[in-house]
Amino acid sequence: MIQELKNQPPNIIHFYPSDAFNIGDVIKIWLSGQYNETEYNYYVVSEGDYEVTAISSFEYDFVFNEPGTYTISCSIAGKTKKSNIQGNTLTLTIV
Amino acid sequence: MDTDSKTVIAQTKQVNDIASLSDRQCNYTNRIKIPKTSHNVKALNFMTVPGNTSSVPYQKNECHLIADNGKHFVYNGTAIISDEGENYEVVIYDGILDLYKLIENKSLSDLGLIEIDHTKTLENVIESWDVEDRNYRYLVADYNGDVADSENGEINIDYLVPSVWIPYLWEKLRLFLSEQLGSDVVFNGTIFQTYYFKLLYLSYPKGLATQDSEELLYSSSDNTFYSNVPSYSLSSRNWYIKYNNTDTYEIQSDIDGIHLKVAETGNYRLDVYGTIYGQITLLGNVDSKLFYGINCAGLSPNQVVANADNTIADNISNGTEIGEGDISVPLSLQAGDTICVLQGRWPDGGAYAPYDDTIPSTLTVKLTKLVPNTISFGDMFEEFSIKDFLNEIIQRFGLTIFKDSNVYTFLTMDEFIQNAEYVDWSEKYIETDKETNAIPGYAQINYFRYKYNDVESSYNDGYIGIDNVNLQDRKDVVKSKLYSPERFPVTYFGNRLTNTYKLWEKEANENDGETEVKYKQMDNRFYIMRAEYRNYLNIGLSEPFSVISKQLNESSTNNRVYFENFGYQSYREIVQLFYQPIAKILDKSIIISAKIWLNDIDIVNFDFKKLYFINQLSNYFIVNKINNYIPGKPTSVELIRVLYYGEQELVDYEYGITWYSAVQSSQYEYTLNYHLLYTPVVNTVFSFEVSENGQDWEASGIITTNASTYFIDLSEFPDTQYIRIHDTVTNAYSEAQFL
Repeated sequence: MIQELKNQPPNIIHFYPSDAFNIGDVIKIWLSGQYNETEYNYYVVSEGDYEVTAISSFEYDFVFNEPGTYTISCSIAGKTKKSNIQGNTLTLTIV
Repeated sequence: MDTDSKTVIAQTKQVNDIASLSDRQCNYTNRIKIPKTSHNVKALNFMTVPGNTSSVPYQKNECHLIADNGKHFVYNGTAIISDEGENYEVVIYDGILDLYKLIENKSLSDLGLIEIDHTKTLENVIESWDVEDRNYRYLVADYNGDVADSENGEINIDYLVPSVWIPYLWEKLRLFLSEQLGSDVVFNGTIFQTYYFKLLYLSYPKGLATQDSEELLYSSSDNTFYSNVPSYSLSSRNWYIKYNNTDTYEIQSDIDGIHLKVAETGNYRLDVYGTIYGQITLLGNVDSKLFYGINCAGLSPNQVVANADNTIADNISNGTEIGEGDISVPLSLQAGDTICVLQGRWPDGGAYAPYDDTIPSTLTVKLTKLVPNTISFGDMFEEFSIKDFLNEIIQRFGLTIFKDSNVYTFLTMDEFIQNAEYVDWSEKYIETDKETNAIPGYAQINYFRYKYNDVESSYNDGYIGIDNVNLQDRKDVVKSKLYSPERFPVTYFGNRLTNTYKLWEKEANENDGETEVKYKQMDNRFYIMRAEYRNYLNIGLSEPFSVISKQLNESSTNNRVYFENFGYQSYREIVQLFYQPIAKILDKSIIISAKIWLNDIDIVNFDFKKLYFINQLSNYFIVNKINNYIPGKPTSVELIRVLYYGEQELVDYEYGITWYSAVQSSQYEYTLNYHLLYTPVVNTVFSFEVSENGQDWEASGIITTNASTYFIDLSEFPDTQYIRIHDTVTNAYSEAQFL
């Protein structure tokens, strides 16, 4: 049976072997699990002081300039209807 | 074109025949008879008229098929025209035919890859790891060569090969098509922005050496000594070596048998060996020196100055035998340069003396061109057709191509089926002609297969199973041109496993009681792999990687490299990730051939990307094919049932755990990614349960508090086929994940 994916939450992921990084590292974060740019805007954000470059809706380069623990979260928001679906979170440690 | 008043143009529309996962189809009309009116004959450049030179039957004929309402049925299609006696016969093709026609008989080397040709040096290999955006990288893996002391962080580049970034090849394909069509081609597709695609590389298909190769251009062992300086000159102390006969003559030309002219700019090597007897003076023969001159034609030998830079041997005692290889001089020459070799007196000074030619010369002079180890993707990718490359990408992600003018949109089955808009066709439905339960072209087990070095293997294959005993047993629906890595990863660095992509064959020989391993290059093996960034700390090393070349006798260090990774590349994973919608459609499939009342507007605006709902049949359908549409008549439409359950309700998953992926990194190790559809209690422990059949579960005893990802080692459960997650607090379970 086929089910629509519209309500499936997005997922963020990285392919590094640990969640610990150095200040100034370019950390590539990928988003997957929900591919519908026609219907949704994509948001990948963190707490605290950081810089992010969105390569596309599905690829983000984060740089953190202060040591600490940061939680990155993702969500998608409907363009035409009021829907906002939260995805998972990643917790990174910057040393 | 003039048509007969009775001409009927029936159109068939199709994007992907669901019966074929291995290729893609296009739209076409039936055969249209075009009368041979004077207007038509002229328009077709007198085709079929005796003596005609019309190229119409051999070329791409651009055509448009326009409805009565002025809208285009076909915009910029292709007409294939042939002779049919009293009439011409025309078939009009639309859709992706152009795409496949343009790449027919072309290979990846036609994409113009010369810009990434390079020489394999330590510097270039390291740069391929250090630069963020690189169109090729030397992915660190075991290619079955000499991996040196990898245990202690050594990387031997002699047995690495470069791999080309697949998104780069994809962009080159788009540019190639744009150039062929003379206008900009656009490739759309969300999949091309995801990590499934953007981390992919295609390997160089053969093992290759790091050393330069050589080409002997000139060799002469029959020579004499020449000077045009009068014998009464007190300063006549140098002699040109003049060649009488040659053993090898591959240079561009020579001047007076003395000055050898080279055709190409590059690196060369001059070798001189033999016995030299020097000049005769009143006191007997004197010692010599040898030196060379560049672009000295027209100069007397005395005008060629010997100095520290061009002297290749000095203090040579009279009659000394110079061994082969003792005088071997690297040179950098420009195209058109000449090189000559001279003998002079050692030490400098003294009056004129003739060269002693009473003893026959035994000098040998050789000029060799050094061919740098250039990696030419253009040459190597001649074996890989563009069509095969396109099909690999389409099949890997289960893509369907939709064409609109020069815009090609590639949709995954998720996007195509599970994100589709739907259209109500209830009022257009007339009747069902036929209903069947088996889609032709499929078996009970439908394999997706790699090539293997061991042809009997199948460990990275996958399949779609269809629960219908009336079908044949098994069938290959996709056969890749790519090779699978070897079955079991090997330990490459201390705590890291790597797959083996065989590009060398090892041969062990006994030599004086010691085992000597020789590495023989293998050819024509293309591998696909993902790039995985790691620095030396990530893999448990205390010092940066030691990067060496035994062949170049060079070494360096580097903090970071890109390793291979075969995650998401087994067909088992590919089917799981990208073929689930079609697998669900094929299982318990219903195919209906129905009469549908369509009009010109329906055909002009028809969209295969949508699902079609028919109330009388109580189901949603994919339209597989519109057969022979003729305006004003019911049309036969092939419909595939989709058991469609609408939008997923989040509330149903209050305590759900969903899977994102289980990425295999070694035989028993996986990175698990999952998502909780609820907020867990603080310090919730998740336990992993394993199963061989998806029915009977066993607690593995492996637990975590990580609510989104976990790296699991299942070596204690080697028969595990499925895994699921259990929240021990809320008692929530994930579904079974096939590994």
